[in-house]
Amino acid sequence: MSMINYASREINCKVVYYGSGLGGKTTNLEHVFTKVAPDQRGKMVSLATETERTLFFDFLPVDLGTVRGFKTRFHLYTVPG
Amino acid sequence: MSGAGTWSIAEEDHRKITEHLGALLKESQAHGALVVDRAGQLLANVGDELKFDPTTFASLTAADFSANDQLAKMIGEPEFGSLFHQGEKESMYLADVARRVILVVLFDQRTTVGLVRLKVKQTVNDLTKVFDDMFGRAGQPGQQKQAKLLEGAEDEIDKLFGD
Ligand SMILES: Nc1nc2c(ncn2[C@@H]2O[C@H](COP(=O)(O)OP(=O)(O)OP(=O)(O)O)[C@@H](O)[C@H]2O)c(=O)[nH]1
Ligand SMILES: [Mg+2]
Repeated sequence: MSMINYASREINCKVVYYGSGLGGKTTNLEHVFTKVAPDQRGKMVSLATETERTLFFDFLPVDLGTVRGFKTRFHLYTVPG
Repeated sequence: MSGAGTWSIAEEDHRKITEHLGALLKESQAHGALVVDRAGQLLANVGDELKFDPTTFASLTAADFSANDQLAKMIGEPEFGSLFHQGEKESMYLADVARRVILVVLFDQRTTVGLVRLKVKQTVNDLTKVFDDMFGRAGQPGQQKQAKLLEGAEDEIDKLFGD
């Protein structure tokens, strides 16, 4: 799913991971977080229980660069399994 | 904009939204106003420079609103039209607009929640009109603009992933 803002020249795409509980969705997002250069990513937010199960969602914004002069950003989410 | 969650916002609409937000800040003495869609994407942002990541803020705002929607249903309300989070110095007031987007107002002791709430009402009406018009136009010329933009964009996206 995407949102194009012609005024601020931004494209935002939302990507949602889903899958079985403890299947590695959050771990995958953490891996992406460590691999992406700090200036290209935002803060990773995890709404989780103390015992690592995702309660609400994890969220990580990643900047991809520009496409046709539009700043392009991925919003990566994981949901609880 | 169209169904299935994918939509776009035209410059003219963005300008109108920004103007309404600017007027709200002036009248309410609040220091920031944002418009976020229900899926957590930031559409507009006016006021003092933000000290936090607006993308993350927008995503959490939408989550906050949907969690509260469910709470509302549990106590027999169809929804909460607005939410107020009070901090020691900074507070925020959130209001539903046309059941599609959320208006977030950031303010501190320079004003009161009463004044903010009062002024937000007018802004919600103004924004509702803008968004009703926008959604009413869905599937019209904007779509062509979108198709034109996406023409050849695939190559550029491939390039981004190339390295
Ligand atoms: N061996 C192994 N363990 C993994 C792998 N990926 C994740 N894990 C482990 O599996 C456990 C659960 O991983 P999470 O990433 O929290 O799983 P999740 O899909 O987010 O789970 P929920 O949020 O509860 O739905 C953690 O202890 C991880 O360390 C993998 O590739 N190999
Ligand atoms: Mg998880």
